[in-house]
Amino acid sequence: MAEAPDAERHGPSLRAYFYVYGALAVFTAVSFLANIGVRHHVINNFTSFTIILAVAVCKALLVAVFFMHLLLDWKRVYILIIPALVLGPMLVIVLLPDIVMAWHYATATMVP
Amino acid sequence: MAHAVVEERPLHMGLPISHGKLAMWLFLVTEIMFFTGLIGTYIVLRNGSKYWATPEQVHLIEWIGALNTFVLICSSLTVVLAHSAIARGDVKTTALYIAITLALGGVFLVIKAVEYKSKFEHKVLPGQIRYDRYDAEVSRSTNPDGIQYRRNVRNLLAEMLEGKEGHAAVTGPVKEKCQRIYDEIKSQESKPAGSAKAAEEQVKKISEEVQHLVHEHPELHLPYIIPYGNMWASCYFVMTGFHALHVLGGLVVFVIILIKAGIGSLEVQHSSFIELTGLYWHFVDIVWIFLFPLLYLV
Repeated sequence: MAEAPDAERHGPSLRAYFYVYGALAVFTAVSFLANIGVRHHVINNFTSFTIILAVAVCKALLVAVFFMHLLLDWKRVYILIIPALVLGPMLVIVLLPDIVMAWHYATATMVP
Repeated sequence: MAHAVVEERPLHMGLPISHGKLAMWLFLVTEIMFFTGLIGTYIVLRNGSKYWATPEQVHLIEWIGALNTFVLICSSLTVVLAHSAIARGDVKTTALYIAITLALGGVFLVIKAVEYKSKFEHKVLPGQIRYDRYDAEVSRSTNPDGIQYRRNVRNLLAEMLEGKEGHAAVTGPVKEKCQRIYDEIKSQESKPAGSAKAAEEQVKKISEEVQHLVHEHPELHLPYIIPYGNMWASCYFVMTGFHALHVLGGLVVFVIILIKAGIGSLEVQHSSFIELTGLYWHFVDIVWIFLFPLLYLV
Protein backbone atom coordinates (compact mmCIF):
# COMPACT_ATOMS: atom_id res chain seq x y z
CA MET A 1 0.00 0.00 0.00
CA ALA A 2 1.40 3.34 -0.95
CA GLU A 3 1.94 5.92 1.75
CA ALA A 4 -1.08 8.18 1.85
CA PRO A 5 0.00 11.48 3.29
CA ASP A 6 -2.49 13.24 5.50
CA ALA A 7 -4.30 16.08 3.85
CA GLU A 8 -3.15 19.55 4.79
CA ARG A 9 -5.19 20.54 7.82
CA HIS A 10 -4.88 22.69 10.83
CA GLY A 11 -6.89 20.93 13.54
CA PRO A 12 -8.71 22.68 16.36
CA SER A 13 -7.37 26.07 17.40
CA LEU A 14 -5.40 26.59 20.60
CA ARG A 15 -8.40 28.41 22.03
CA ALA A 16 -10.54 25.31 21.39
CA TYR A 17 -8.00 23.18 23.28
CA PHE A 18 -8.22 25.48 26.29
CA TYR A 19 -12.03 25.48 26.21
CA VAL A 20 -12.00 21.67 26.14
CA TYR A 21 -9.51 21.62 29.02
CA GLY A 22 -11.78 23.91 31.05
CA ALA A 23 -14.81 21.76 30.28
CA LEU A 24 -12.95 18.60 31.36
CA ALA A 25 -11.95 20.20 34.66
CA VAL A 26 -15.53 21.37 35.30
CA PHE A 27 -16.92 17.92 34.42
CA THR A 28 -14.50 16.28 36.88
CA ALA A 29 -15.71 18.64 39.60
CA VAL A 30 -19.36 17.86 38.70
CA SER A 31 -18.87 14.09 39.09
CA PHE A 32 -17.02 14.64 42.40
CA LEU A 33 -19.84 16.91 43.67
CA ALA A 34 -22.49 14.39 42.56
CA ASN A 35 -20.73 11.81 44.71
CA ILE A 36 -20.69 14.19 47.69
CA GLY A 37 -24.39 14.91 47.04
CA VAL A 38 -25.37 11.27 47.31
CA ARG A 39 -23.37 10.84 50.52
CA HIS A 40 -25.20 13.74 52.13
CA HIS A 41 -28.55 12.48 50.77
CA VAL A 42 -29.04 15.58 48.61
CA ILE A 43 -29.57 13.37 45.54
CA ASN A 44 -30.36 9.67 45.29
CA ASN A 45 -28.08 6.88 44.08
CA PHE A 46 -29.68 6.60 40.66
CA THR A 47 -29.40 10.34 39.95
CA SER A 48 -25.78 10.36 41.08
CA PHE A 49 -24.97 7.29 38.96
CA THR A 50 -26.64 8.86 35.90
CA ILE A 51 -24.77 12.15 36.34
CA ILE A 52 -21.40 10.46 36.89
CA LEU A 53 -21.83 8.11 33.90
CA ALA A 54 -23.01 10.93 31.62
CA VAL A 55 -20.08 13.10 32.71
CA ALA A 56 -17.59 10.28 32.02
CA VAL A 57 -19.01 9.74 28.52
CA CYS A 58 -18.95 13.51 27.80
CA LYS A 59 -15.34 13.77 28.99
CA ALA A 60 -14.25 10.81 26.87
CA LEU A 61 -16.01 12.29 23.83
CA LEU A 62 -14.36 15.68 24.32
CA VAL A 63 -10.91 14.12 24.55
CA ALA A 64 -11.52 11.87 21.52
CA VAL A 65 -13.13 14.53 19.32
CA PHE A 66 -10.81 17.45 20.03
CA PHE A 67 -7.54 16.17 21.51
CA MET A 68 -7.40 12.99 19.39
CA HIS A 69 -8.56 14.94 16.33
CA LEU A 70 -11.49 12.65 15.57
CA LEU A 71 -13.31 15.80 14.51
CA LEU A 72 -11.11 15.61 11.41
CA ASP A 73 -10.13 11.94 11.29
CA TRP A 74 -13.45 10.25 12.08
CA LYS A 75 -14.26 9.63 8.39
CA ARG A 76 -10.85 8.01 7.98
CA VAL A 77 -10.82 5.72 11.02
CA TYR A 78 -14.44 5.01 11.96
CA ILE A 79 -14.15 1.63 10.24
CA LEU A 80 -11.58 0.64 12.89
CA ILE A 81 -13.26 2.18 15.91
CA ILE A 82 -16.92 1.18 15.50
CA PRO A 83 -16.37 -2.62 15.66
CA ALA A 84 -14.39 -2.26 18.90
CA LEU A 85 -17.05 0.02 20.40
CA VAL A 86 -19.74 -2.53 19.49
CA LEU A 87 -17.84 -5.65 20.59
CA GLY A 88 -16.72 -4.15 23.92
CA PRO A 89 -20.18 -3.57 25.40
CA MET A 90 -21.37 -6.87 23.87
CA LEU A 91 -18.74 -8.67 25.94
CA VAL A 92 -20.42 -7.31 29.07
CA ILE A 93 -23.99 -7.76 27.84
CA VAL A 94 -23.58 -11.47 27.01
CA LEU A 95 -22.38 -12.16 30.56
CA LEU A 96 -25.23 -10.29 32.24
CA PRO A 97 -28.00 -12.94 32.02
CA ASP A 98 -26.02 -15.70 33.73
CA ILE A 99 -23.94 -13.75 36.19
CA VAL A 100 -25.95 -10.66 37.13
CA MET A 101 -29.62 -11.08 36.24
CA ALA A 102 -29.88 -14.73 37.34
CA TRP A 103 -28.49 -13.86 40.75
CA HIS A 104 -30.94 -10.99 41.26
CA TYR A 105 -33.78 -13.22 40.06
CA ALA A 106 -32.75 -15.98 42.48
CA THR A 107 -32.64 -13.50 45.37
CA ALA A 108 -36.02 -12.04 44.51
CA THR A 109 -37.67 -15.46 44.36
CA MET A 110 -35.78 -17.01 47.29
CA VAL A 111 -37.95 -18.37 50.09
CA PRO A 112 -36.85 -16.67 53.33
CA MET B 1 -15.86 19.99 -31.09
CA ALA B 2 -14.28 20.42 -27.74
CA HIS B 3 -14.38 17.56 -25.30
CA ALA B 4 -14.63 18.11 -21.60
CA VAL B 5 -11.57 16.70 -19.92
CA VAL B 6 -12.51 14.55 -16.96
CA GLU B 7 -9.60 13.99 -14.67
CA GLU B 8 -9.83 10.63 -13.00
CA ARG B 9 -8.77 10.57 -9.40
CA PRO B 10 -5.97 8.07 -8.87
CA LEU B 11 -7.07 4.89 -7.18
CA HIS B 12 -5.81 4.53 -3.67
CA MET B 13 -5.89 1.33 -1.70
CA GLY B 14 -6.66 1.31 2.01
CA LEU B 15 -7.59 4.05 4.42
CA PRO B 16 -6.63 7.61 3.49
CA ILE B 17 -4.30 8.09 6.45
CA SER B 18 -0.57 7.68 6.97
CA HIS B 19 0.86 4.28 7.86
CA GLY B 20 1.89 5.55 11.26
CA LYS B 21 -1.55 6.81 12.18
CA LEU B 22 -3.19 3.64 10.85
CA ALA B 23 -0.85 1.51 12.97
CA MET B 24 -1.51 3.64 16.04
CA TRP B 25 -5.30 3.45 15.62
CA LEU B 26 -5.11 -0.31 15.10
CA PHE B 27 -3.08 -0.55 18.30
CA LEU B 28 -5.56 1.67 20.15
CA VAL B 29 -8.44 -0.52 18.95
CA THR B 30 -6.75 -3.56 20.52
CA GLU B 31 -6.28 -1.47 23.65
CA ILE B 32 -9.99 -0.57 23.66
CA MET B 33 -10.78 -4.30 23.66
CA PHE B 34 -8.18 -4.97 26.38
CA PHE B 35 -9.48 -2.36 28.79
CA THR B 36 -13.11 -3.09 27.93
CA GLY B 37 -12.41 -6.68 28.99
CA LEU B 38 -11.02 -5.51 32.35
CA ILE B 39 -13.68 -2.86 32.99
CA GLY B 40 -16.44 -5.19 31.77
CA THR B 41 -15.27 -7.94 34.11
CA TYR B 42 -15.33 -5.46 36.99
CA ILE B 43 -18.88 -4.33 36.12
CA VAL B 44 -20.12 -7.93 35.84
CA LEU B 45 -18.43 -9.06 39.07
CA ARG B 46 -19.63 -6.05 40.98
CA ASN B 47 -23.25 -6.32 39.85
CA GLY B 48 -23.17 -10.10 40.22
CA SER B 49 -22.04 -9.88 43.85
CA LYS B 50 -24.46 -9.57 46.70
CA TYR B 51 -22.46 -6.85 48.41
CA TRP B 52 -19.45 -4.78 47.39
CA ALA B 53 -16.71 -2.94 49.25
CA THR B 54 -17.23 0.81 49.78
CA PRO B 55 -14.36 3.30 49.21
CA GLU B 56 -14.04 3.86 53.01
CA GLN B 57 -13.70 0.14 53.70
CA VAL B 58 -10.81 -0.21 51.24
CA HIS B 59 -9.15 3.11 52.16
CA LEU B 60 -9.83 4.83 48.85
CA ILE B 61 -9.94 8.61 49.05
CA GLU B 62 -12.15 10.21 46.39
CA TRP B 63 -10.39 13.56 46.20
CA ILE B 64 -7.06 11.82 45.52
CA GLY B 65 -8.66 10.04 42.55
CA ALA B 66 -10.16 13.35 41.37
CA LEU B 67 -6.75 15.01 41.71
CA ASN B 68 -5.18 12.29 39.57
CA THR B 69 -7.93 12.81 36.98
CA PHE B 70 -7.12 16.51 36.89
CA VAL B 71 -3.40 15.78 36.55
CA LEU B 72 -4.03 13.58 33.50
CA ILE B 73 -6.35 16.19 31.97
CA CYS B 74 -3.59 18.80 32.35
CA SER B 75 -1.10 16.43 30.71
CA SER B 76 -3.50 15.87 27.79
CA LEU B 77 -3.60 19.62 27.24
CA THR B 78 0.19 19.96 27.30
CA VAL B 79 0.56 17.14 24.74
CA VAL B 80 -1.73 18.86 22.23
CA LEU B 81 0.11 22.13 22.87
CA ALA B 82 3.41 20.32 22.19
CA HIS B 83 2.01 18.99 18.90
CA SER B 84 0.82 22.44 17.98
CA ALA B 85 4.27 23.89 18.77
CA ILE B 86 6.20 21.33 16.72
CA ALA B 87 3.85 21.93 13.77
CA ARG B 88 4.94 25.59 13.95
CA GLY B 89 8.58 24.46 14.05
CA ASP B 90 9.04 25.74 17.61
CA VAL B 91 11.23 22.96 19.03
CA LYS B 92 12.05 24.75 22.29
CA THR B 93 8.39 25.21 23.24
CA THR B 94 7.66 21.62 22.18
CA ALA B 95 10.36 20.32 24.52
CA LEU B 96 8.99 22.49 27.33
CA TYR B 97 5.45 21.12 26.93
CA ILE B 98 6.72 17.55 26.67
CA ALA B 99 8.77 18.07 29.86
CA ILE B 100 5.65 19.37 31.64
CA THR B 101 3.71 16.32 30.39
CA LEU B 102 6.45 14.03 31.65
CA ALA B 103 6.34 15.74 35.05
CA LEU B 104 2.54 15.45 35.23
CA GLY B 105 2.71 11.75 34.31
CA GLY B 106 5.29 11.35 37.09
CA VAL B 107 2.96 13.10 39.55
CA PHE B 108 0.17 10.70 38.55
CA LEU B 109 2.39 7.68 39.25
CA VAL B 110 3.61 9.10 42.57
CA ILE B 111 0.01 9.63 43.73
CA LYS B 112 -0.82 6.10 42.59
CA ALA B 113 2.18 4.77 44.53
CA VAL B 114 0.97 6.56 47.68
CA GLU B 115 -2.44 4.90 47.22
CA TYR B 116 -0.83 1.48 46.73
CA LYS B 117 1.24 2.00 49.88
CA SER B 118 -1.95 2.64 51.84
CA LYS B 119 -3.44 -0.62 50.48
CA PHE B 120 -0.32 -2.56 51.52
CA GLU B 121 -0.32 -0.97 54.99
CA HIS B 122 -3.96 -1.90 55.57
CA LYS B 123 -3.50 -5.29 53.89
CA VAL B 124 -6.22 -4.54 51.35
CA LEU B 125 -4.62 -7.02 48.96
CA PRO B 126 -5.94 -9.92 46.89
CA GLY B 127 -6.34 -12.96 49.14
CA GLN B 128 -5.16 -11.08 52.24
CA ILE B 129 -8.52 -9.89 53.56
CA ARG B 130 -9.50 -12.31 56.30
CA TYR B 131 -13.20 -11.45 56.49
CA ASP B 132 -14.89 -10.63 53.21
CA ARG B 133 -18.34 -12.25 53.58
CA TYR B 134 -21.33 -11.61 55.85
CA ASP B 135 -22.35 -15.28 55.46
CA ALA B 136 -23.80 -16.46 58.76
CA GLU B 137 -26.19 -19.29 57.91
CA VAL B 138 -25.11 -22.09 60.26
CA SER B 139 -27.25 -24.75 58.57
CA ARG B 140 -25.29 -24.49 55.32
CA SER B 141 -21.81 -24.41 56.74
CA THR B 142 -20.44 -25.42 60.09
CA ASN B 143 -18.25 -22.36 60.34
CA PRO B 144 -19.41 -19.53 58.06
CA ASP B 145 -17.26 -16.42 57.68
CA GLY B 146 -19.71 -14.12 59.45
CA ILE B 147 -20.02 -16.35 62.52
CA GLN B 148 -16.23 -16.66 62.79
CA TYR B 149 -15.91 -12.90 62.47
CA ARG B 150 -18.47 -12.18 65.17
CA ARG B 151 -16.81 -14.66 67.53
CA ASN B 152 -13.39 -13.15 66.90
CA VAL B 153 -14.64 -9.59 67.56
CA ARG B 154 -16.41 -10.74 70.73
CA ASN B 155 -13.18 -12.30 72.05
CA LEU B 156 -11.12 -9.23 71.16
CA LEU B 157 -13.63 -6.90 72.80
CA ALA B 158 -13.69 -9.07 75.93
CA GLU B 159 -9.90 -8.87 76.20
CA MET B 160 -9.98 -5.09 75.67
CA LEU B 161 -12.69 -4.59 78.30
CA GLU B 162 -10.72 -6.72 80.75
CA GLY B 163 -7.65 -4.56 80.03
CA LYS B 164 -5.49 -7.45 78.86
CA GLU B 165 -1.98 -6.73 77.60
CA GLY B 166 -1.46 -6.22 73.88
CA HIS B 167 -4.60 -4.15 73.42
CA ALA B 168 -5.13 -0.40 73.48
CA ALA B 169 -6.44 0.77 76.85
CA VAL B 170 -10.14 1.54 76.62
CA THR B 171 -11.70 3.97 79.06
CA GLY B 172 -14.66 6.34 79.33
CA PRO B 173 -16.89 6.71 76.26
CA VAL B 174 -14.71 4.37 74.16
CA LYS B 175 -15.16 1.65 76.73
CA GLU B 176 -18.91 2.26 76.68
CA LYS B 177 -18.99 1.87 72.90
CA CYS B 178 -16.94 -1.35 73.07
CA GLN B 179 -19.25 -2.67 75.79
CA ARG B 180 -22.33 -1.85 73.68
CA ILE B 181 -21.00 -3.81 70.68
CA TYR B 182 -19.97 -6.67 72.97
CA ASP B 183 -23.47 -6.80 74.48
CA GLU B 184 -25.01 -6.70 71.01
CA ILE B 185 -22.91 -9.70 69.94
CA LYS B 186 -23.84 -11.65 73.08
CA SER B 187 -27.50 -10.85 72.45
CA GLN B 188 -27.26 -12.01 68.82
CA GLU B 189 -25.50 -15.22 69.84
CA SER B 190 -28.14 -16.03 72.44
CA LYS B 191 -31.00 -15.61 69.92
CA PRO B 192 -29.99 -17.05 66.52
CA ALA B 193 -31.63 -15.32 63.55
CA GLY B 194 -34.58 -17.03 61.90
CA SER B 195 -33.31 -16.85 58.34
CA ALA B 196 -30.06 -16.66 56.40
CA LYS B 197 -30.81 -13.08 55.39
CA ALA B 198 -31.54 -12.03 58.97
CA ALA B 199 -28.33 -13.71 60.14
CA GLU B 200 -26.34 -11.81 57.50
CA GLU B 201 -27.98 -8.56 58.54
CA GLN B 202 -26.96 -9.19 62.16
CA VAL B 203 -23.32 -9.74 61.21
CA LYS B 204 -23.42 -6.75 58.85
CA LYS B 205 -24.69 -4.55 61.68
CA ILE B 206 -21.85 -5.62 64.00
CA SER B 207 -19.26 -5.10 61.26
CA GLU B 208 -20.58 -1.61 60.47
CA GLU B 209 -20.55 -0.64 64.13
CA VAL B 210 -16.96 -1.88 64.46
CA GLN B 211 -15.97 -0.01 61.30
CA HIS B 212 -17.50 3.19 62.71
CA LEU B 213 -15.67 2.65 66.00
CA VAL B 214 -12.31 2.00 64.31
CA HIS B 215 -12.83 5.05 62.10
CA GLU B 216 -13.28 7.21 65.23
CA HIS B 217 -10.55 5.44 67.22
CA PRO B 218 -7.88 4.04 64.86
CA GLU B 219 -5.82 2.87 67.85
CA LEU B 220 -8.35 0.06 68.37
CA HIS B 221 -7.19 -2.86 66.25
CA LEU B 222 -10.52 -4.46 65.54
CA PRO B 223 -11.30 -6.11 62.20
CA TYR B 224 -14.36 -5.33 60.12
CA ILE B 225 -15.77 -7.16 57.15
CA ILE B 226 -14.91 -5.81 53.71
CA PRO B 227 -17.63 -7.46 51.61
CA TYR B 228 -16.07 -9.12 48.56
CA GLY B 229 -12.88 -7.29 49.47
CA ASN B 230 -10.53 -9.88 47.95
CA MET B 231 -12.35 -9.68 44.63
CA TRP B 232 -12.36 -5.89 44.84
CA ALA B 233 -8.61 -5.85 45.51
CA SER B 234 -7.92 -8.15 42.54
CA CYS B 235 -9.97 -5.93 40.22
CA TYR B 236 -8.44 -2.74 41.60
CA PHE B 237 -4.83 -3.84 41.26
CA VAL B 238 -5.29 -5.38 37.80
CA MET B 239 -7.13 -2.37 36.35
CA THR B 240 -5.07 0.40 37.93
CA GLY B 241 -1.86 -1.63 37.57
CA PHE B 242 -2.24 -2.08 33.81
CA HIS B 243 -3.26 1.55 33.49
CA ALA B 244 -0.17 2.65 35.44
CA LEU B 245 2.00 0.49 33.15
CA HIS B 246 0.51 2.30 30.16
CA VAL B 247 1.30 5.64 31.82
CA LEU B 248 4.86 4.42 32.38
CA GLY B 249 5.11 3.43 28.69
CA GLY B 250 4.03 6.94 27.70
CA LEU B 251 6.62 8.49 29.99
CA VAL B 252 9.38 6.43 28.31
CA VAL B 253 8.37 7.88 24.92
CA PHE B 254 8.35 11.41 26.38
CA VAL B 255 11.88 10.85 27.68
CA ILE B 256 12.96 9.74 24.18
CA ILE B 257 11.43 12.92 22.70
CA LEU B 258 13.24 15.05 25.28
CA ILE B 259 16.56 13.30 24.53
CA LYS B 260 16.01 14.00 20.84
CA ALA B 261 15.32 17.65 21.66
CA GLY B 262 18.41 17.72 23.89
CA ILE B 263 20.76 16.49 21.18
CA GLY B 264 19.16 18.78 18.61
CA SER B 265 17.59 16.09 16.43
CA LEU B 266 13.96 17.05 17.13
CA GLU B 267 12.64 18.82 14.07
CA VAL B 268 9.41 19.82 12.43
CA GLN B 269 9.22 16.48 10.56
CA HIS B 270 8.72 14.80 13.95
CA SER B 271 5.28 16.40 14.15
CA SER B 272 3.65 13.11 13.17
CA PHE B 273 5.62 11.21 15.85
CA ILE B 274 4.45 13.64 18.53
CA GLU B 275 0.87 13.47 17.24
CA LEU B 276 0.91 9.66 17.47
CA THR B 277 2.40 9.78 20.98
CA GLY B 278 -0.36 12.22 21.87
CA LEU B 279 -3.02 9.84 20.51
CA TYR B 280 -1.69 7.13 22.82
CA TRP B 281 -1.53 9.49 25.79
CA HIS B 282 -5.09 10.72 25.27
CA PHE B 283 -6.27 7.12 25.15
CA VAL B 284 -4.59 6.50 28.51
CA ASP B 285 -6.45 9.59 29.78
CA ILE B 286 -9.79 8.23 28.47
CA VAL B 287 -9.23 4.92 30.27
CA TRP B 288 -8.70 6.79 33.54
CA ILE B 289 -11.81 8.90 32.87
CA PHE B 290 -13.79 5.64 33.20
CA LEU B 291 -11.69 3.98 35.93
CA PHE B 292 -11.99 6.97 38.29
CA PRO B 293 -15.81 6.98 38.64
CA LEU B 294 -16.06 3.18 38.57
CA LEU B 295 -13.58 2.64 41.40
CA TYR B 296 -13.94 5.81 43.48
CA LEU B 297 -17.43 7.17 42.96
CA VAL B 298 -20.21 4.89 41.71
